[in-house]
Amino acid sequence: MTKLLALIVEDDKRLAEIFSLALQKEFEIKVISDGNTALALLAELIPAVVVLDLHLPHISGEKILQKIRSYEHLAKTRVIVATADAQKADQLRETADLVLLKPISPNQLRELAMRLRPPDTVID
Amino acid sequence: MTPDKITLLENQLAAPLTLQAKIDTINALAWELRYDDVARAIQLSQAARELATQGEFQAQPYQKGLAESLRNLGHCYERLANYDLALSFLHEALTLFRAMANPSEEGTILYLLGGTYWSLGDYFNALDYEFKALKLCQAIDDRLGIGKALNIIGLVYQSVGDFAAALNYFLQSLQTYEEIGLKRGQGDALSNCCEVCFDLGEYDQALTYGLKSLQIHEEINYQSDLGLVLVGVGRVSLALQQHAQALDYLRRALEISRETGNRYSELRALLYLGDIYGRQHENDLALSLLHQAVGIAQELGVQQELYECYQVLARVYKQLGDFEKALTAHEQFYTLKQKVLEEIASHKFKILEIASEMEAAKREAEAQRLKNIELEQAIAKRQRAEEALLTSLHQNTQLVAAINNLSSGVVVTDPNQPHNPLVFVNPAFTDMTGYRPDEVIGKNCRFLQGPETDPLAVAEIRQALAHKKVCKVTLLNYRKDGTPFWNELTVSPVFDAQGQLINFVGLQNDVTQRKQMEETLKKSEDWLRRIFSTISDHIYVTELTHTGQSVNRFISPTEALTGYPQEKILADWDFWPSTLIHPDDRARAAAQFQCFVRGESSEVEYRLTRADGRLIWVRDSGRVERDPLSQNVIVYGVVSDITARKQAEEALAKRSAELEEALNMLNGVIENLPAMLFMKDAESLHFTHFNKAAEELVGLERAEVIGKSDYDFFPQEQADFFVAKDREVLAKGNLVDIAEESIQTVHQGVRLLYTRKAPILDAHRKPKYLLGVSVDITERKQAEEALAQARDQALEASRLKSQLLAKVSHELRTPLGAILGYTELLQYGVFGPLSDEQQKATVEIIDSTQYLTHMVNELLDQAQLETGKVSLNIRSFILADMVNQVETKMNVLAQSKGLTLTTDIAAELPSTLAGDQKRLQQILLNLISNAIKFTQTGGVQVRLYQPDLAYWAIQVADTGIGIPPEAQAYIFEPFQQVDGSITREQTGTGLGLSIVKHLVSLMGGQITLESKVGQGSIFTILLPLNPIPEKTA
Repeated sequence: MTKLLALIVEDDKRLAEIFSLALQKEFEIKVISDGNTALALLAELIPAVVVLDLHLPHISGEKILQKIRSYEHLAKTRVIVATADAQKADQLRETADLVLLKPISPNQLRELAMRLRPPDTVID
Repeated sequence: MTPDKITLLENQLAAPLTLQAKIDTINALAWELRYDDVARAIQLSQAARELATQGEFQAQPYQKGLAESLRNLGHCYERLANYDLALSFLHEALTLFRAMANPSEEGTILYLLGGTYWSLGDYFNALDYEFKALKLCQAIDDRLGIGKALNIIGLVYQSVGDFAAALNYFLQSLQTYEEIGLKRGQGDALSNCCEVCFDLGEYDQALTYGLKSLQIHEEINYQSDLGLVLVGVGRVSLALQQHAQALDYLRRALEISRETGNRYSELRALLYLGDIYGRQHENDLALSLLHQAVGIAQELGVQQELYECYQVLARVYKQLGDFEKALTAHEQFYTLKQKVLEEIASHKFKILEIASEMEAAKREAEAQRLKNIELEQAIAKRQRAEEALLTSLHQNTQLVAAINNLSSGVVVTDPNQPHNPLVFVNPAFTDMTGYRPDEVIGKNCRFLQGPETDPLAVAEIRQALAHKKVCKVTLLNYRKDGTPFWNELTVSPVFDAQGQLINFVGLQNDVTQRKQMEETLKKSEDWLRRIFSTISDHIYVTELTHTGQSVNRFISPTEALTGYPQEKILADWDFWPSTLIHPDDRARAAAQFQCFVRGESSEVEYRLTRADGRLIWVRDSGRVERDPLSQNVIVYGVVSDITARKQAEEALAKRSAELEEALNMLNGVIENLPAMLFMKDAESLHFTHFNKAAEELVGLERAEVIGKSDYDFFPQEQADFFVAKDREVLAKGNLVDIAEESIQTVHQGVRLLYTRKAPILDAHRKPKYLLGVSVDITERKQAEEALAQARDQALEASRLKSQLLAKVSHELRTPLGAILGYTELLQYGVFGPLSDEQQKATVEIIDSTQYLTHMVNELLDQAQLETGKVSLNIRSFILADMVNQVETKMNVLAQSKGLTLTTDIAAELPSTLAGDQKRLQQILLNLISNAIKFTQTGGVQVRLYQPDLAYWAIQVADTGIGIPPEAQAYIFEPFQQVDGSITREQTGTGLGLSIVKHLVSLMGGQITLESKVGQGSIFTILLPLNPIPEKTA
């Protein structure tokens, strides 16, 4: 049985680690720390869940979210925005599937990611 | 008599004759010529007289010839009106004829003598000789003599005014002449009948006789008396109003009289012609003729014609308006007539004696003659009838003359005869009524009455007659021609010495004209009364006499003006000045009266108290004139009601005072206004007003400014600006605000003004002034600028603070995330199992991290709310769900402190509401957690309800420590807490209530607090009930 892919886009290494540890049991984790790489990977990969920071080097999280929403192949991808910017968080409540304001409880993240995971993504 | 006879006699004279025959022939010729050629007749008679007494008759005169010549001379001189001479010749002749016992000639001489005496006015002798002549002639049956005597007797009666008797004798005479066919005699008699009928007023009869006489005179071509006949006929025509015929006769009469040298007939022709011309108002011609007539009358000594002349003259002068001459003529007329009447009266008396003597003698001799008997009866009757009148004539002939000349009609009745007949009427009665005396004497007066005569007036007269009383009535009577006239009649009884009623005397005046005038006057008075009744003005005419008396000559009705009737005013002279006039105004009215007394016109205004008590103002305007005769002052006054005008004046005065007050007030306001106020003339833009504030601001005295323009004080550019604005305001006609304009002042440098300019219009809605009000905004402007700067700075600071807070919050979150994350991972044994102490430590770390997170959230919220960055997310939500979520969260906290948490949602609230659910939860959580935080025992009650249609309310009540009043004021400010006594447990950011308040405000609601220390607090939030958005409903 193949785990679903969870893409963690976070430039803070500690948080990236925490999110990874929180989700590693249920998901295959891929951590990316800058926007360019994230966009490049997203052209090929089809993650079930993306945990997206907004303040990223090169390309902002919003831009990435926009791209995800524009890609046909990512139609089933669920995006959890994880940010410290309360203002931006508010603005993205419509486009993101979930917006979490930092500090984020790892347990909560895992539960929410599980709940958001599309049912038909369980593939072998 | 005839030319043939004269020719025959002249022929006889030419032949040789005896002296006696010659004398006889001469005398015969003279006799024949005595009428037609008096001068020759005298010449011949004197020749005959000489022949009869000289030569062979010197010793013994030729009696017959002498007597005849004397007779001729007497007759001729009588014809020439030389009566004295005539008398002496005739008396001589009478003596001679008597001596010769020639009764025929004696008769002739007798009637000639009588005639001469008549001509002399000696009626006594005239009648004496004529009756002798008549007696003698009758004795010898000398018809000619009888005719002559009867004629002269008639003339005597006519002369004494007994016209009826005269007519009787003239008719006898005429009859006698007719019997003997003597034409000239008939002509004479007819002429006399004409005259006497005229005297009797029987003009038609007179004309008949006159025309017959004229016919005979013309027939026999008898020129000598033709003049007189024509005069007679002319006079009758005149009386009959046939003026054209009268003029014709009288002109012929004058011509013939002058040809024949008959002065008497010339005189009469002139008199009557003068009369006619006078009546025809040819006054100058009339005067000329009448003065000629007067000359002749004086020359002939004929009194009656003379007074007639004066009578006509008086009338003509009166017509000419020359009353002085008229009066003189009238006096002469009156004196003469009186004299004549006196003479007549005295003659008449004698004549009656003679007549009765004669009649007595005749009765013995000629008792059988009916004519004489009639005569006697007539005389006797007249004697009786006129006895009373004659007595009074004797007693007072002046009175009779006066009665006959009275312009008033006088009638006398005899109440002792049946039906109280008239016994006398005077000429004025005839003039007035048209009835001649002979028509009415013997009749009762009632013939004067007619259809319109007032029976009451007649009854009044009858009553007076019955009681022998005096009465005066005015009644409508009728003239002979049927025309009515108003007769003012006074009837008086006349008593004799014994007190017996003998007569009633009535005095009549034709007052028709006066009556008509009275009618006219009455009518005009009626008009006046109507006019006065239509005007409310009161009009008076007062006469002030020398003796200081005041007499109201006229006053118009006073009822309309004063409410009192005219009679009241008239009855009491003092009523007006001392009752009607207001006491305060009486002095003024009295002064006006004194003006009148001095003869000065005057006009005053005073108040009157009307009968109804109402006070009115009147103007009493009196114009003064002096009566030209009495020199009395006559005041013509009008009193008019001027109350309305006075009231208007008072209102105007009041209005003026009010205006002045208003103006004073306005001036005061303008002057003391703390703003600069100025006004300019709309045409010239020169200053007209400049208030104190303006003086202070600009630094110029108003005396320097008024009358000058902006160019006198300000730089060209500035003045141009001001004037341009002024013109704009005036052109537009409405106000213009100049938000800022700078002005160069004398002491304060350049000042900034806010100026409002407006046009002030005159009564014709045209700009009269330009009003300017300026406020010095220099300081305010500076303050505003400083304030704006400060605000900008504060905003900037706030923005920076919010930015900082956002930044801080953002920067804190990442490390907090790491702490929380790692701790949780530790707790869940991701990094290996933990001991109990370690496990406990992770809980503490997580707890602190959550507290820090909460604080960061609140700080962020606060910052965002302060900078307005929070926007509400309005959606519909289910109220019960929202409350349950909060309750679930809070129950744990409450139970941990042993407190109860109850929620109550009122049934009237809609289940679904619109709003920002998250923020509402935030509010509820804040309030409930606060309540739990400050409550040790008891519990927290949450109530949701709808106090009115527009709002819903959230109420959170606790039983906690409460908030002291001084703290209630700042409890909603950020970072504030009640005091330092809070425990660790109670700590918080101090931002909770501040955020709640901000959110409530953002939602359009409000929050209130009720609290008592030790008892608890109640927070109540009122929120508008938003409409539910359709999309999500």
